Amino acid sequence: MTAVAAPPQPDALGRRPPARVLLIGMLIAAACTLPFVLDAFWLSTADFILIAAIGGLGLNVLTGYTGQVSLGHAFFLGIGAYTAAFLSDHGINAAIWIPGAGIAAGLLGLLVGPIALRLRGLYLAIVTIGLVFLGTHLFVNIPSITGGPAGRATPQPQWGPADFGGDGLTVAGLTFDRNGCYYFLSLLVLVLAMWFVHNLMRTRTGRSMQAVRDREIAAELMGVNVARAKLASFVVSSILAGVCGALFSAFLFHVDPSQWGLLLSIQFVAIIIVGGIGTVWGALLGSVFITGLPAILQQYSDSLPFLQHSAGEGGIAVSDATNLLYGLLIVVFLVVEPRGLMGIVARANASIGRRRRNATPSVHPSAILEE
Amino acid sequence: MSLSKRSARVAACTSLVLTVAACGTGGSGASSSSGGTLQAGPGIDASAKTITVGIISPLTGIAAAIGAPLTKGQEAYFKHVNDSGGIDGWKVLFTEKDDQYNPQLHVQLFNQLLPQMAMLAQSLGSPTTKAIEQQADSAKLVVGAAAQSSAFVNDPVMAVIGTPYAVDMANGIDYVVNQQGHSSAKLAIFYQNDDYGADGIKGYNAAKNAYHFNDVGQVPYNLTDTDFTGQAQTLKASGADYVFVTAIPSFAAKLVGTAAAIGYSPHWIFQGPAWSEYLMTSDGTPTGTKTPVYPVLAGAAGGSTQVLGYEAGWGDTSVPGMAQFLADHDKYFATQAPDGYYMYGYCMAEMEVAVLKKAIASNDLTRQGILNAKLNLGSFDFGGLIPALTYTPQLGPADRSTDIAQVDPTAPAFLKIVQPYFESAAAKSLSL
Repeated sequence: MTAVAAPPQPDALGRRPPARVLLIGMLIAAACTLPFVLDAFWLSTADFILIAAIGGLGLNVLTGYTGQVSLGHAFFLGIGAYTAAFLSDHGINAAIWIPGAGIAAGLLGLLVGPIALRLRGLYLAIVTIGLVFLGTHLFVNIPSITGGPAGRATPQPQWGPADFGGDGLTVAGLTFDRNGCYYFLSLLVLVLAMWFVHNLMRTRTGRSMQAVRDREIAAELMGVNVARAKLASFVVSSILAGVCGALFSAFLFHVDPSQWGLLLSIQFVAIIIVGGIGTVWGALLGSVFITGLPAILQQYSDSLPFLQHSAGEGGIAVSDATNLLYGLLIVVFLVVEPRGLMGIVARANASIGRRRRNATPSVHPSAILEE
Repeated sequence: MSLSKRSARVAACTSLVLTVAACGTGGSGASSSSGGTLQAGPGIDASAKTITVGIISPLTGIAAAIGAPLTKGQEAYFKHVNDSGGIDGWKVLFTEKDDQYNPQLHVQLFNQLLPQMAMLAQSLGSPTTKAIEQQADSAKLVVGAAAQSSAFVNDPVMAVIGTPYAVDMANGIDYVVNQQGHSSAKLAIFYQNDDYGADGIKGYNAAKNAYHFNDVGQVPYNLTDTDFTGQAQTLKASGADYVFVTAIPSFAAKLVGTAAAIGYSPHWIFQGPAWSEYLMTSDGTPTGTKTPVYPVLAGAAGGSTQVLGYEAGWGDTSVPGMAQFLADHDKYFATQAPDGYYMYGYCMAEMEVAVLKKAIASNDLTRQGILNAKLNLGSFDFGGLIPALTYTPQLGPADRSTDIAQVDPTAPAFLKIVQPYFESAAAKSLSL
């Protein structure tokens, strides 16, 4: 990021100056070379990070940009996963079942959204927890689609020579194994989603979402259609969650209903809090931390003194340490840097003497539960 | 191998200087040194005569009480083999990873080990193993699956020892209804609402069709449940004399404790994974602090507790394989308390060494070669530690026999075998 000269400001239409476009281009190019340097462990970790970032971005639209706190994100992921499986069972190609998963989840978001018209803040959070339990019950009891409590195998994308479930793809002497295929697919979806959300937030709809977050009554007085903004936000958020669920379950090969639990929802909340609420990049940064955490702890547990290395030894079990750290990170970030990693990025920029007048600042989480 | 044009362009686009070593994602590469006519695959070093196998097990976290002793048992046998000259001179190297019983981490670790292992010597658990099953299938990688769910017995690459849960359950019912002659007794089952519980139910219902016993209740629980008063009341109201428990230890203990508190003490019959010696004392040894359910499990309240399994009693020297097993235990893991999972791990490693030995004998240590050796292993005897297994290309369970142990505070590991291995009619005809 430091390689860029002082950035010119965007013009009145919000068009980005060439330097920023170049920076983003370089980041994407760097992301494209990553699979060629990572080993299989870190590449599969990167796959999970990118996939979770798509879902995190969805939650950021709902919670970060529109101020609607939801703990029901896992439910929409589950809907996406099983829609994908259902469509694929009926012989439908992945080019359709991936967006289809998003559309089905989006439609359910449209159904659930009206709850947010009557409830806000903590009440909405509690009601959306209900969705998670409802979902788990539903998923357990429709074995023809979900495989019941035992779970089911998930479909793998297959496009011509590209076989995501098996040998991957070989083009021009270059082999992309399964992890590589998923990496590029997830990267593509994530980049498109980030681009979409970035632009959405500059439209009338996006700005009305942010107005609803900042002061709902004031927004309504100024002529913002609050109901429409909230519903749109629920739909966009659920679409991204659904796509995330489809990719996550496909990459995992096998899913069971217990996976779509409250802990998964909380992980997504942690992702946006750690990454930066109400920012496009926050979801990705947060996902690197939160999704990558178990892998990092596993890999370096030998050199971390407080962790136990096998059962019965002293110290904290690695799995407990992961959950402890989720909690700790949420607390520390909320207290010390409520605007998340994006807030730190902003501070770093400010401290090296450059203003970030053109960047979207992260939102202080307290803005969401105020009113 | 050099970088192809396309990726070179991509690399050049970035202003980053990256050292790109592999030609493809994931950077896999098979070792291909050869000695004589022997064909070698990944994980085989023919010049050093070593075979690398992977172990992915929950060494910490909720399932560590199973994963940790099981892994030690495996290590003990591999060390025994290496210290007594290896498999025809070949040494087994093992790389251990802790998956914390998290399917996502399991996949990541599997990806990490895949290029460098000849066999996955341990993949513990159903949800975790299912997450890697397809990848293992396409890599033709033999996987020692430490999961008795009947789902794995028909997959060629899955090497499972012991008896599937469903078969254990059918045998357990045969024991009560036919062998002990309680043909009119009321039976019920308490089961975990997942893959494992579904297997228990499968065996229960198969036995019901075969023996027409008096089924008075099938009571599920979820892993998220914290209170078992409802289930205990249901079971008490059903008047069941025998309750089969397809659960995991912490939940089995809660059920038994809650039932005792409301004055209900039937005969409990635990599926193998419901039992742990930690249910009896704080450290699983007779000298540890007794747990609150100790007296109930030991039968003080009038009922009894039996455990379905297929392992010999710890220290039973009438079993031919026991002496070597105990000697290895004392040599390598003397501090390990007597534990069924430890013995299971030891037996898994015995099976795996037998497979590798057969592959070496046919001069083919490629993955396909090891898979062929597994499929054609035929019958293999564990010296009575567990019943002999049979692997054939027709697949199916390694074995269909079960033994019954009774909880007895004076016995090693608190278990005394009351019924040696047997195979019931219902178990024989159970389709998996």
